[in-house]
Amino acid sequence: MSQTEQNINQQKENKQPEHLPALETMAELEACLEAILFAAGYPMKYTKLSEVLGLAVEDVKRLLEHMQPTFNAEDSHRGIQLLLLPETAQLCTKERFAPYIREALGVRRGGNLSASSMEVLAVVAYNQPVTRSFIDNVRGVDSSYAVNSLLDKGLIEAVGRLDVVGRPMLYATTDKFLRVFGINSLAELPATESLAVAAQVESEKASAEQAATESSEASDE
Amino acid sequence: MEALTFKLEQFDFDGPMDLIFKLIQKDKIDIRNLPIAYLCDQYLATIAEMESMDMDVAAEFLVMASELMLIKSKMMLPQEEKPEEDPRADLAELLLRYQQAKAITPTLQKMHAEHRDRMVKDTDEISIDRTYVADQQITSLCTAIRRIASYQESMRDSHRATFTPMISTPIVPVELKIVGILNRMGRHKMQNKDVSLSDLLSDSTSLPDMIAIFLGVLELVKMRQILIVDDPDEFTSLHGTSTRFVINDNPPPPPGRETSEDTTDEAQLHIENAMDGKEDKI
Repeated sequence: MSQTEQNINQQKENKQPEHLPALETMAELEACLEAILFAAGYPMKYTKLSEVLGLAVEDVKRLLEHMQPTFNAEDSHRGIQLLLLPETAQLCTKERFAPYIREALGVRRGGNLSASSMEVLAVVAYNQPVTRSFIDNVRGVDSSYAVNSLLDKGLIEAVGRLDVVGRPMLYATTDKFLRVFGINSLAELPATESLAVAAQVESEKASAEQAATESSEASDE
Repeated sequence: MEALTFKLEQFDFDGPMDLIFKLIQKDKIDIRNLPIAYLCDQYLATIAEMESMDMDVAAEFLVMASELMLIKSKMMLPQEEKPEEDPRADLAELLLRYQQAKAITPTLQKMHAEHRDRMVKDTDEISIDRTYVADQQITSLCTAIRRIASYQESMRDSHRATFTPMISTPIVPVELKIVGILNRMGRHKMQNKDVSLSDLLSDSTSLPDMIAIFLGVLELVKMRQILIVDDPDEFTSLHGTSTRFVINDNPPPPPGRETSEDTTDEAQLHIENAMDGKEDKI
């Protein structure tokens, strides 16, 4: 397409929906973002925010990064924090106020994740996207209960199908997973040394334990 | 039911992978170079031990046992007949991932314990835009009326012969239909049932009848004497003849007016529009 057409399209992309009054200052824009995120509650896509405000996605992110310290800083005196995830932003409460909130709202703490659910979650997190069958094979047991439980809790979600016979569903972790584990992206998952190295470390640990038991037994005699 | 856990001391396995994994740890086996024969024998010995202690060994353990034996036999084939890929490769791969998941689980537990108390708000109640958008084809309305009419015809042929004058179109008072509708709905209310549009239309004996009933329904809805039963699924709640209605238990008082003697449908509606003081669009 011609240069002029490209320009016009570019402008159209950055133009706010016409019925919305333009926001003049950065302060106003940030305030508007805060209002939208509050009303939504759910993780809000940067692309959606950029549409509404008539800004490029990069600019939206920059604005959010700029306002983040006013929420998140240690001395911000705010009870709410701003999460900036790979494709979305979300407001949530600060962890340390949870007991007071629960008391005020009269709600109880939700159940913890069982060890097997956590294992399944780990398999999904480090290998995503995965099928149920993959999870079953890695753990050597039927994991459908844990998978369904994690789906219910919104920690994993279906993200497509594998293009093989049977077209099984593929699962991956969600934004909620990032939030309740305190990371901003999958890149921040704790490093497991490369799989082969991990195996080496494990067996060395085992032999170290073996040696320790043997030497203590020897000294006991 | 979740994973099987054998709670007897060293036989406390979360499944066959866990068993193999513990064997590997105990004997410091290198996953990248599994001594399959040895591993297989150890595994079978453990299973045998469990069975001799009268434990119920779950099916998954036996499935794994057969898989190990298959790999072992593949490894024992003479050099020329050995398959291209290492038969241990899949198992090794799975073991590595299992170990990775197991190793990282305590760390994940800590992270979760620290951050699970973050709370988010539900989305605010936002009123849904209920402006009716005329996206239906007029033809579907015609099709619907034709369908009802033909249904009516087949059921009520005898009635029509008796009641419909041969030449003129009957004038049907909407007011009368309204009374009929309310009666019908009152009876259904006793049985705690709501009424669908097709139920109400089934009382009709002719096409003008149906139109009068329909106008009656619209009028009652407008006056809020009856209500459309709301379904979370928009498609169900406003869907042609399956739209359901209930009598409004708290109807607003009707505006004071003289009952008109004029029984023409349109005149009736015009008068009520004027009394309401506004032009209501139905």
